[in-house]
Amino acid sequence: MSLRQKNATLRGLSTGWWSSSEPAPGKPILFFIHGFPDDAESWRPQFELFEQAGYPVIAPYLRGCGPSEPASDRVRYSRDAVVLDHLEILREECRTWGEREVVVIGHDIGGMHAWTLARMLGPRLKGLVLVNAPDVGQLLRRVTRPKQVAKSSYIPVFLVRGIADRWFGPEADRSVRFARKKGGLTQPLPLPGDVSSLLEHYRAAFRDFRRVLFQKPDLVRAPVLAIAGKDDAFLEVPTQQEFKGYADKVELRVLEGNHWLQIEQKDQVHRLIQRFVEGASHAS
Amino acid sequence: MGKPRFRLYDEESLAKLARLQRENAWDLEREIDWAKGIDPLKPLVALDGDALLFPGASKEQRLAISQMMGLVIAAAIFEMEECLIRLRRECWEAFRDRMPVGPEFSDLGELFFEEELKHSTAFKRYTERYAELLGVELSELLAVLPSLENTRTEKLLKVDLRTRGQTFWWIVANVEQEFLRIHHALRPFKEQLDPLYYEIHHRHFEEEARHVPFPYLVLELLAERSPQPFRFVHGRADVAAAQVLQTLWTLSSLKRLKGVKKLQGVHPFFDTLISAFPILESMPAPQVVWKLLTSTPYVSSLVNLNSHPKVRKEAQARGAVVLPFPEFEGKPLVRY
Amino acid sequence: MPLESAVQRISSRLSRVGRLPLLSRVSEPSAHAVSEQDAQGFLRSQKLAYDCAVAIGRELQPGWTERRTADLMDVYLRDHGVKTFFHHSFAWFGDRSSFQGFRHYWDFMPSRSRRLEEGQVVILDTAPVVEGYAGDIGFAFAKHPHAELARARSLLLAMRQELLDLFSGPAPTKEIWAKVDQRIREQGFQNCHEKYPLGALGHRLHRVPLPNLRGVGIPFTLHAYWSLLSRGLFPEVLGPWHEGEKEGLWAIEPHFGNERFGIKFEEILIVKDGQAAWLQEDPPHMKLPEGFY
Repeated sequence: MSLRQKNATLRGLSTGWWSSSEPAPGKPILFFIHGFPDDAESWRPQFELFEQAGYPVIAPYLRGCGPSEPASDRVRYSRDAVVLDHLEILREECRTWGEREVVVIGHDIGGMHAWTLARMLGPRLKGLVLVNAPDVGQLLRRVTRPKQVAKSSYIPVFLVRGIADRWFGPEADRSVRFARKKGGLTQPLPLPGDVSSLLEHYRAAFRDFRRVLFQKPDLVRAPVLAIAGKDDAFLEVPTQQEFKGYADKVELRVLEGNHWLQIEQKDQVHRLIQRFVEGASHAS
Repeated sequence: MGKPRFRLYDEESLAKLARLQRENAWDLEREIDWAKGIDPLKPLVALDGDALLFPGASKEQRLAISQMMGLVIAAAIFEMEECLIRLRRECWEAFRDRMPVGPEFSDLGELFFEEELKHSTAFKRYTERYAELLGVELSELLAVLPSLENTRTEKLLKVDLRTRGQTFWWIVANVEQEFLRIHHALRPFKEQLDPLYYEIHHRHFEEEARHVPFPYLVLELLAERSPQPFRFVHGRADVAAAQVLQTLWTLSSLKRLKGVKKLQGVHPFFDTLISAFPILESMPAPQVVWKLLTSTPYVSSLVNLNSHPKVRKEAQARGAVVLPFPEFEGKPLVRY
Repeated sequence: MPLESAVQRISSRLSRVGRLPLLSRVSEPSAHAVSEQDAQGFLRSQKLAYDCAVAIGRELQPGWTERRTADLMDVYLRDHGVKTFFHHSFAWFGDRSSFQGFRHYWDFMPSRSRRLEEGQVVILDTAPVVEGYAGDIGFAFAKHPHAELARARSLLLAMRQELLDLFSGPAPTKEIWAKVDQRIREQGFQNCHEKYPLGALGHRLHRVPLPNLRGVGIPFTLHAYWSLLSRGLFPEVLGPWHEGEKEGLWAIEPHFGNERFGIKFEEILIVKDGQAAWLQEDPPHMKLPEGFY
């Protein structure tokens, strides 16, 4: 295995990510973006398998967790700032690997950043994979679905500075375990430590609500694979209609399971992503 | 209830079913021998001893009754299948987009509608040729056969579908079973029946056998994903609604047969049929209804859920209210 | 001439605003005398602005909108500590880089609907304020070889040298404007900078008095309006009728093109004791970075 953790200063802030050192030629880059309250390790069960198969993989730590230094300026958590981080990481890796197509893969709020990155990659984007991950606009529009409103009841708490920061700060382990248990995670996953800075991603997305609600999102023209858990404690299962205006071709997969499908249904998710990446997608 | 063979999100089994359907689909033009024509001296369906509702009918009358019943069945099939196509937007496309549906299920749905269209074309074409044989316009013949287009039944089904109702798909589930039953009923009498008619039924059966899981998958989707108030109400009430609608439609369709009297003198077929009407008219109406509900081949099995234990079991397993119907008496069919 | 005297009257009245008791404290020293420290300050701002244009230009992909591109430039600059702007970033693609069809002030705003297509020319223009020093750059490029653009660039770079000669020479500013205009037309191009407000070939840049005050206003901020208006506006903008000194600091932005594309650069020119020199020796349009054409 040749995965290594790398670090760089991106626009003044230290940023870390995992990447392959010896990818096979011609394979697209798989860019894994984690969610909350996780770090890049939450994608390890997947990116290790793909790395072994010769795919160049990148799994960054989102701003504010692990080796990715938290920022004092909150604008660094905005989707625009995070997408610049991710573009710089891609550029850095492509210096060694050469220009390649990219498949962006996001989980949870990582999905929101995955959508943003997918929209910026132009013809380089080969596909977008979302695991338990709606875009911000899609989630906001679910306000008409009472079950989703109930499942998202934690979000307003996250938006208020000071409350959730205590729960997910230095003593985060208990809160993280609670969230993971609720989300059906039974497999072992290392605790990420202080993830209070990750709450800033929610807050930054909320501050951007005007753009989200009133501007048409850019259409993603590459194929999209959306994987949802039938019993996801935090998210209702998406529908094809939700993707109208977001993506041209969407393959929707509903699996038996909860919120951490990439770990709990590791083999099934792996098989779906692999088939998708290899181009045998049923995108409609 | 055992574990279902096909689950809504089981991509492998659904993909396999779709593949099977595609590989074994028959071609309407190339694989049905339309050139063989219709034999007007052969019955279309086998009858029981009472010739359905005409005990004591003569041999000629039994032939005419059998041929008329065959046309009624053909019309019922193509009317129901055309109704499916007409309501495709409400019964499939509207919720396919609004509910989480995997690509294999979506594929299966498209195939289902493709094949239903093919079936309705086959049965309608047969009816058209029969009309030519009888020397009447197709529209004149259709006027005495079952019809669903623009009826109150269809309108009610549309309303039900718009509120994410399940009535329509319970009817489809029941009717699919009935189609299989019809074929099983005809098979032992294959040599006696009009070959073209039997061939169409046989082809129909081949594909309908593979359609059986589809309505249940749709019902599962509706049961899981409809908004809660609709889910509860429809989940309880719609099987009963399906039973009522199906019964009413079947009875009203049979009533249209009275219109045959207007075709007296057009062809000996109609004259012979009309000559049998007094047998039916001599029976008290309640007795006729009772027979229709319990013991008339091809009719009772359509309206009486007791004739389709599988459908009944599925309905009960999903907590639906099933209206009690009298015990179904499957009467034996006899050779012509 | 009535127009000229009207301009002078307006200019004089506007410049009185800057001399009002409290407001005069807010005005910065004249840009006519540029110290070495100030020059370094402006240079830092220019370099950051060009770094931004190159960084975002490098990531630019077909499908990006002008608005998105401009927003990302602003994000880049903010991430580098920029708190305010002289003007927010602009991005123009294709025929919009030569302002085809522009009639109103708001036509210049980066478009939400115009998306970059393969082979199109791009102009990125931004003006951050770094530690009180306003910078203002313009960078034109294509992401693939573009023969027409290459020809235009040769003219642009020649003009860069010619501008030095003109500012160092005796010609007044309005004559410089006319000569640049003539040069552009002789080569078969359209003069695009004449479409800027007041037909600006350039404008003064000053230190911003309250650099921590977030730049309110789009695309030009209050800092820009104050900076130009408090000094009478017209002497601050090098348009076709400009009259005034050449000495001091200018942001010069020759811009020309045709129906399909436009090209420009924007750099700081310092005229000191009758001698002109560009502040930055190695802007990216002098030697295009890899991947830029």
